[in-house]
Amino acid sequence: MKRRQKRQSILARFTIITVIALTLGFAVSYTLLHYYNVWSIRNDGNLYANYAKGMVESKLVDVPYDEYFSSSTSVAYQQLRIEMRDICDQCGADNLYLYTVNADRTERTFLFTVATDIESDSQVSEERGLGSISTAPLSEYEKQALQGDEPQEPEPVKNQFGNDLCFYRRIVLPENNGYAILGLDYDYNFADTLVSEDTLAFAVPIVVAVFGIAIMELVLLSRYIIKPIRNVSASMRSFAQEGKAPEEPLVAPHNDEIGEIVTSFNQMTTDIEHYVAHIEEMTEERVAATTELQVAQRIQQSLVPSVSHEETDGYDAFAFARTARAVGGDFYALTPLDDGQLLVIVADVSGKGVSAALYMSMCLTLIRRKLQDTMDPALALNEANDIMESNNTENMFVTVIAGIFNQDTGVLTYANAGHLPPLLTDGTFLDPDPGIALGLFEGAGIVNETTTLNPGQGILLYTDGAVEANNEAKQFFGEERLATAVSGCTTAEETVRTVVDAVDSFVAGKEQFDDLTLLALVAKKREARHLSVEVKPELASFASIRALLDQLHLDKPLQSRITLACDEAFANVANYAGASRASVEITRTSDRIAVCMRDDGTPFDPLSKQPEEREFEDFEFGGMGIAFIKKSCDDISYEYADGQNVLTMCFNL
Amino acid sequence: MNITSTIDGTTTTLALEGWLDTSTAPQLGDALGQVDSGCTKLVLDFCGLEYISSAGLRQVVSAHKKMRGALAIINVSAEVMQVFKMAGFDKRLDIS
Repeated sequence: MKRRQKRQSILARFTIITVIALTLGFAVSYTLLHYYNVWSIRNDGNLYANYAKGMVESKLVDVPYDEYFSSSTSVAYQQLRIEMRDICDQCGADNLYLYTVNADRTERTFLFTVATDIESDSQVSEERGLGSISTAPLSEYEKQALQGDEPQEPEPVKNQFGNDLCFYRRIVLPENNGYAILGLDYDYNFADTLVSEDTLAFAVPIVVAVFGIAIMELVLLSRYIIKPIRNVSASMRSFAQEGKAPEEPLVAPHNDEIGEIVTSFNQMTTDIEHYVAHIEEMTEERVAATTELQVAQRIQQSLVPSVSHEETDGYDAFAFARTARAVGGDFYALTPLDDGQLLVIVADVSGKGVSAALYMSMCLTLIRRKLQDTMDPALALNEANDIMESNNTENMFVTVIAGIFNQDTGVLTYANAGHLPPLLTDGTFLDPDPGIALGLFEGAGIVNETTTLNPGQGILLYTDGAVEANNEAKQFFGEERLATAVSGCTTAEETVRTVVDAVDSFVAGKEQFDDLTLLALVAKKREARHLSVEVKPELASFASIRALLDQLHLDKPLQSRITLACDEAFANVANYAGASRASVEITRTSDRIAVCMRDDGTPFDPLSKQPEEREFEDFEFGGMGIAFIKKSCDDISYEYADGQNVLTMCFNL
Repeated sequence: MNITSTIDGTTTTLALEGWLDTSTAPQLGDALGQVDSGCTKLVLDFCGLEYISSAGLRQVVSAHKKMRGALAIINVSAEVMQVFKMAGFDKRLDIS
């Protein structure tokens, strides 16, 4: 969990810094002043001590020594004290005193002591007055002074008179009275008193001034920086939460840096709001477009499923479609027809994406409809071409292979309109008339081609997504790899899946720009097929037999031969046998068709009757029928079994 | 089967459409019976004829005899021609 950070204020920081700076400044200036004062006392003390020494020595010779010091009440002594106090006052000292020292330097005998302060003066005049004795050994400072050296350092002394700095000087007493020591006391605490006074006099106004300036700065800081920043900050927060620019744009308080920030902020919120609106709009449009595209994709998938499988006992067909984009321009049709034939189409529309998909759906519907109506691939494509060409403003076109596979004969009748040549599963490419893509020119002149698929033989129809699939090395999958891939495949699905896998592993994940559509058709070895009909033995019933023959979907010459043989045989039964019932049974195997005609009429073996040589004119009375039957079929046999004539006519496929 | 008869002076044209098999051959017989006696030339137009059987051929022979050879057969399809050839009629009839 993120720890909530304590909010910090610039103003508070500035205040703290200011207070610390002021305190430090005060302390530093106090200390500096103190040491300056101590230094100046020492300096001045020495000067004053020398001055006092001179003054005292000159005063002492004014009056005879005894007159001065005979009595403390003498006029001269009192006069001397007054003058000495003046000197003391001039020197700025607290006390001024003069004393002699005994021989072993343990005893001081005072001649006088004066103090600047009147109260103190009366006190010291008694306690350290004329003749008063102090019995403490002399300090080093006093000894030094007594030897005549003038000590530069004062002696710090603490006694009942206070905390003092004492300066000593030797005085030569007149009239051979020996030496005496002149002392000058300065109050040590006075340094601090001076400091306090100086501080009050000097530092306080500065501090007050600085403090005043600091407060003014803080006020200005608050007014010109902190407050505007807070306003901007609050606006930013509300903008971030609500995602809406403030209704009233922030007003720049002054034309300064903060003003620039406010202007920038206003600009930014307006811009962001604009961008957000734009992004929302684009997102909505994209969502709508995506949804529409998904619908289009579903529609296209219903027209062209990604896989289709159709299988009968005559063929096995499998188709696969994969679009490079959401929707594509390739299409196929794999439509079993009612009569057992199979309609196949593989096509590639020019262009890509939605435009191709739109055109594709029209092409698919049109071509398949035409093919179902005409059952003639070339005719269907030519007719479709003329319709497409007549209103093709965008110059779209489509390459197509369309065909109809007859599972009874194994014949694939197909037409090529500028498409890639079909590939047999033995690895050989067919070489049909190239034709021309549909939709561009009136009268495409597409022609029919036929190829017969023997049982087990297959054919692959494909689009350029297979041969033009390319890998990172910019190599094409190509026809050779395609031919290798299909070789050895036995079922339609295996053929298609093998090609898809081969293409996918070849491109190795590289994005492809062509749709991939494959349709494989494999002819199967057909089991014997039986068709039969029972009919009344009368001529009108031949229509039923004809209908039965139609179900075989034979090519025209063979159909005519079989029809002729059946017609002649049935005419004999109907006209001459006197039968009550008849039946026709057709058995189709992979290589022949056997028609077995039965009737319960008079036993009659048509084969026993040798055709007579007759004149042309005699044919008016018949006699050609049996000759026609024999000439039409490849093999014929007759038997009479179970009370029925059984005539079996065979036709090789 | 449909038969359409057209008379142009003394020439009668019978246009046949559909199948001429055992069951429909009598229709051609009826049509031939209705051809006017003043007719000097008969034309059988097989343009729409898809199939002919021996019964159909018999009617053609009848027509040939009735018209004493003044019979022409036109627009014969490959399948129908095959049957004429099978019977050897292609050598005896005026077929085109």
